[in-house]
Amino acid sequence: MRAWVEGTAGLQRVVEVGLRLAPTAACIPAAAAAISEIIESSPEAPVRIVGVGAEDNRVIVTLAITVGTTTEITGGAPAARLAVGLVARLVEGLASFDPAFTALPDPDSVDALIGSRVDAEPDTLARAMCVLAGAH
Amino acid sequence: MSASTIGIDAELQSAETMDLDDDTIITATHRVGRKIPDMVVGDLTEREILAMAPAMVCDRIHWSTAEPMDLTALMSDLPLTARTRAWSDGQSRIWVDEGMGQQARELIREWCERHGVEVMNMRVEASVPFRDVDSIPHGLFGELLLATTDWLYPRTYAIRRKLVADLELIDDDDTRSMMYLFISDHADRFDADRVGRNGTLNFASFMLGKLRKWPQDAARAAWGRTLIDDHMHLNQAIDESMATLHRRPTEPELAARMKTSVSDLRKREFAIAEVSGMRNYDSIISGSMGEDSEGVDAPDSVDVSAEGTSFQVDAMLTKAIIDSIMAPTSTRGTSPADPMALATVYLSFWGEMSRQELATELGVLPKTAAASVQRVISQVGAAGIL
Repeated sequence: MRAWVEGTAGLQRVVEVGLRLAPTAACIPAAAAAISEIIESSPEAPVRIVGVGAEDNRVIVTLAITVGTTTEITGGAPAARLAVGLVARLVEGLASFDPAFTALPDPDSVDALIGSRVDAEPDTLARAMCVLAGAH
Repeated sequence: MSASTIGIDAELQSAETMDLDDDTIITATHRVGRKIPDMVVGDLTEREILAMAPAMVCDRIHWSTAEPMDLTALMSDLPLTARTRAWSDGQSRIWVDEGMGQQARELIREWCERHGVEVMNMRVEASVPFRDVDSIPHGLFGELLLATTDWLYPRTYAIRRKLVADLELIDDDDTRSMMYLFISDHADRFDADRVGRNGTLNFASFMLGKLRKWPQDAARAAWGRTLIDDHMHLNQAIDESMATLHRRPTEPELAARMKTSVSDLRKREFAIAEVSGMRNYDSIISGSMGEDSEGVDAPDSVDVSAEGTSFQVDAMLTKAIIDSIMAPTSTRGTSPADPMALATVYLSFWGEMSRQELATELGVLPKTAAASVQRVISQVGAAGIL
């Protein structure tokens, strides 16, 4: 999926990358807490939850990390470098939940719909994850 | 081309407002520019060096062979005065006195048949300029070419960029030696006695004029005249529409500007897109790397049958990609995170963009985007993850 959205910097496009986290049911509380914490402590780049779903015996949480505008990316701007650093930090910090790049979910999909209703507050996220784990 | 069209407009001032010295010229746009200097090798000027191999008018016999051909034996057997010199395309060329071309072709053909040399596309071009540059002693001609290349190279950035952009197999590192060979190939055509409004044309001025059409000619040679001309005309028509309509033209508008039908326009665009795809062909993605490249196994060597393993394999691959993007390199300095690498790799594999689409979206050359992806994949492959 193309991770392009209209950005705030005029008509420039913004590149977002999708990161999928796949905790098992047993890890849901820890995963929710870790995801919330890392999102809230990452002011250097916008991170948001764009999808929550389930696959096999895992709950799938998809994060979208904004890397920057095309100009910032091709020019190696500090903001874009910080965003890359954040992606690295997410991959490192959430390693227990098998973080992997993924396409951003279709905005009309069920996962995206759930993702749009869930905020980064740990309890809300954990509840949604538990429901999905139980329902699957 | 006269020197007036190729002066450097370094001092763009109205011609009426300043006194002219020896180094100034009036350009074709009636401005004052600086004259390109004559090349000097040792204590000899270019004029003195080239006078050792004066321009002649000859007939040229030109052909190609399956294997590179040593012309020494042929030259010594020919019963007429013949000259040759090396050419960058590796094809064989012999120059004979004007009017002797057809006879020489038959003699050469017979000689090749006798010696079992298979020749292809042998033809005669009558009355072409030739300089016997091999007769210039002490390697002076080579030094003149070097001096000219050294002067022109830093002043032809746009030409070099276009060459690299248009031809996939050419890298920046190649352009200097290519320019040397280009100048060598065109030395025959330089007429040192040609006089324009700014005096006599010098060697570097002449070559700068020739270099302006170099990217187009090279692209035509590589991809075919029709295709490249279509590409140029399409871009021209789009530019004109952007200037007059302030938007990209519709297909019927574009077809009207190209003086063709919409279906023919689509065919041409498709052909151009096909070639563009070939130019940006990625050997790693298609799994056909060269023998000397780092070995990257096909992904099917990884066991992904177990679902848990699949998540772990994806995570491992992501970690390897991020490690590569964050790895310090000599070019990234103290701030190693490379957003370009992350964007190109992500949009290639998870955004499912082709190299061309990627380049268009990021506003970079397709080969720049491809190189960025390839660098990461090579490092990931070298780490044994793929």
